[in-house]
Amino acid sequence: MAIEDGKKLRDHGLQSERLLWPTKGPGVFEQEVAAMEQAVGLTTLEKAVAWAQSKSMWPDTFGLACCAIEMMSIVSSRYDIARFGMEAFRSSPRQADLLIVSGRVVHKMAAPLRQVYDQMLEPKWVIAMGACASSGGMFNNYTTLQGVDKIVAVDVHVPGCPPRPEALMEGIVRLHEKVMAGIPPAYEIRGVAS
Amino acid sequence: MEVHEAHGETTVVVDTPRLVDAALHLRDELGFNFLSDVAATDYLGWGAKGVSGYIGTARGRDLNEPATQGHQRLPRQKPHRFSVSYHLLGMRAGAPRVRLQAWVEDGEHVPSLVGVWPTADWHEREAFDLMGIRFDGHPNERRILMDDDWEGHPLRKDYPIGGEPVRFSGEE
Repeated sequence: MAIEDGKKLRDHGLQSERLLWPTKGPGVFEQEVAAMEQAVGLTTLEKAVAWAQSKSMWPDTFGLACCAIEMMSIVSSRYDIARFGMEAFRSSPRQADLLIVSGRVVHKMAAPLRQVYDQMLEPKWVIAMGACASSGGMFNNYTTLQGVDKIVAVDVHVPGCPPRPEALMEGIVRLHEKVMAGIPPAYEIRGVAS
Repeated sequence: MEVHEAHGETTVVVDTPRLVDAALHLRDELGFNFLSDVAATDYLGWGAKGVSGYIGTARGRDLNEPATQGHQRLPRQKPHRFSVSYHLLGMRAGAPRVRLQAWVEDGEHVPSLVGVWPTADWHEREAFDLMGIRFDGHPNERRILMDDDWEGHPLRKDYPIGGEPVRFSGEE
């Protein structure tokens, strides 16, 4: 095990999988982010803006189903999203930066989801939390939208049913890494209406 | 009209023309003043051999085929395939319960009990939305769970599950 005696887990920083597999090099995601960072070549001002955007990205209260419970638990003191400056969940989409779609979306809910997404101001990011938001999950039937990326542009998909709070935070941290690298939000990449 | 008793539960079966009279009698004379549930059941294929079991056909499972809800073959239509059950409760000591049941065909109209118990409003809307049972005299008969312009009644036995075919990464 790479966890040295006497050192607590928190002394190693937030490096979960790299801690357990010390021989693991940067994965595909990290390599892409590093390549993007080199390719984009942010100016100091853009880097500062990206830093500010990622350090206080307020989520919107869009808890739909069971994943919402896990999303609520990251605000608790054990998992503590406040250390990322994100404990301020805004009910108004006008004041929110991040839309965490947590839960299954039925066709009837798809219209309000799109409406809330449209009401958010640029720049805005979307995390599809859980299996149901990413792909319809276990509900492959006439009611459920098979993946929320059919109607909004998703930046990060977080797998799980529901994803543990740590898994959701990994998704959030990866989104922050994307923002800091200068990758534009998903609606700009895909060229869709935002 | 018949009265059954099974598993400690009493069921009163009436014909649809006399449903409102029976309901008023149960509410006023016998004191069942609380409608706790309205259940619409589709008995298509009930008890027939080879009808339930593997969810699919011999050719495999296509989610948009009719025979994918536990039917090996599409069951023959039967008369009076739907039963509408009103579960009543008397709010007094002893809390007696009774079930008022009517058997209807596909397309037959049932008199609405909204005038007897106002809570039947949404329950009957759900029965209409998901089973296609029409209620006469309902003040607001429209879909409650599905989209307003949805076609079909999803909880019928011959309605397919629907959905998308799943693609697996790594298959050609």
